[in-house]
Amino acid sequence: MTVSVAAAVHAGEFVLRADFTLTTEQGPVVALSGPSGSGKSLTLALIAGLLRPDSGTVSIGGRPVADAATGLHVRTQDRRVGMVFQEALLLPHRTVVDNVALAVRTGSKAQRQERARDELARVGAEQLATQHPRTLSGGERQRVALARALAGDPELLLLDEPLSALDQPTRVALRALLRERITVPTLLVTHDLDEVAALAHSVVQYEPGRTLGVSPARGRAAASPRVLSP
Amino acid sequence: MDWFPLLLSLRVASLATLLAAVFGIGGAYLLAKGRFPGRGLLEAVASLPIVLPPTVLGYYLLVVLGARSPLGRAWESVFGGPLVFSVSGAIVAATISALPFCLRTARAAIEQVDPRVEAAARTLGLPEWRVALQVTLPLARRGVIAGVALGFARALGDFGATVMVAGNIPGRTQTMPIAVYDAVQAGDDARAGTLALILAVVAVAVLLLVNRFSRVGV
Repeated sequence: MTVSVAAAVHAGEFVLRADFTLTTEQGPVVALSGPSGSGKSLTLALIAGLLRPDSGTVSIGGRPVADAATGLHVRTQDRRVGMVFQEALLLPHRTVVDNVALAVRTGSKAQRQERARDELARVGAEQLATQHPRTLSGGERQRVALARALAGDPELLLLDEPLSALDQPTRVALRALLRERITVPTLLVTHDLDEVAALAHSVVQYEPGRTLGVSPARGRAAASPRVLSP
Repeated sequence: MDWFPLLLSLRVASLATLLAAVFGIGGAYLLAKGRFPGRGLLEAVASLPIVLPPTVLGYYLLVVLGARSPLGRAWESVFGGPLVFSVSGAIVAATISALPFCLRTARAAIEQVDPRVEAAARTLGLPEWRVALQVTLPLARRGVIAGVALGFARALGDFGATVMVAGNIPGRTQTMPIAVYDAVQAGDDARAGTLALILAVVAVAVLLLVNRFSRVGV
């Protein structure tokens, strides 16, 4: 999987100029790392199609999905991305299993529910299925949000500071879960260097308003998976 | 005691509220989410019934829907009778009176829905119509219900527009508010008092409902 962004986008006074091509050859997780407010989340919004670039292009897996010059804009719904935000953004009026089933794209109602339960089991949240999101802890909500994002069989997973609103023990537990669960190509926005070290195979480095390029991650990519796995 | 005005009013107000809810919620969604030319004008026109004197509103409805107008003639050729001075005319008048209450309250509620939740739904692959029906409107439901309840109260209580369009025909188009006026004119204080009390009780019930559901100002 390759993702190319060569685009500028304005958000109020702030201007982001992002220019990089990343691949998941080193491993599925690519971190977007840099100080808060440098435009990492905006980049994810561009890739997800929640924002249109003011100039330039975005392509996912070699397929152009946005081009400011021609007006091309593939809708978010048609990009096959799964996304997890800093807050889980679950639908408060639906149960946990319904929230996840909403993302399953094919099958009968019963099949979608079953798939949703499978996804919940994979993130250790099967016991929450019939609860409503407001009764869940922050960590539980993020588990459900991850299950929901994966239930749509995304070709690209976008994680926007998914752990930064959590307390330290929960963050460590979920970091382990992400490390274990993520097999699809993933872009992880974070300003937490421990998270980069624990999860990322390569890194897109940011400074305010622009990208500095892609480099292999020192922690995970350099080490052999056999050494790290128990 | 003649219950006809009460039954007619309930029938007219229910149908008018249903129509006003469909058009009001649809219009509210368009105005809250859409960016199209003429949006400001559409909003102003839809809000006119709040600020126009009801008799003036009724007068314009008569002009637009009367037997000699194109719309009036089209109605007559389809349904075989004139729209004005009929129950259908009363329903149209009540619908137009109720519409801005449904629309403005629903719009405010829709605009308060967190756009990030809608964005998250889009990343799940939900098409726009499912985002609207399964995400936005359920999250805005308190305001939407409050708007529909206010619309019902307005439809039930309309006097001026209804009397202009549907007239005051006892046993045919005489709704509750018109019957109150009629009873006072005829010096039938007992009847006027009873009808007025029923309308007042319904109005208080609607306000209690609105206050319970609404966190959105009107």
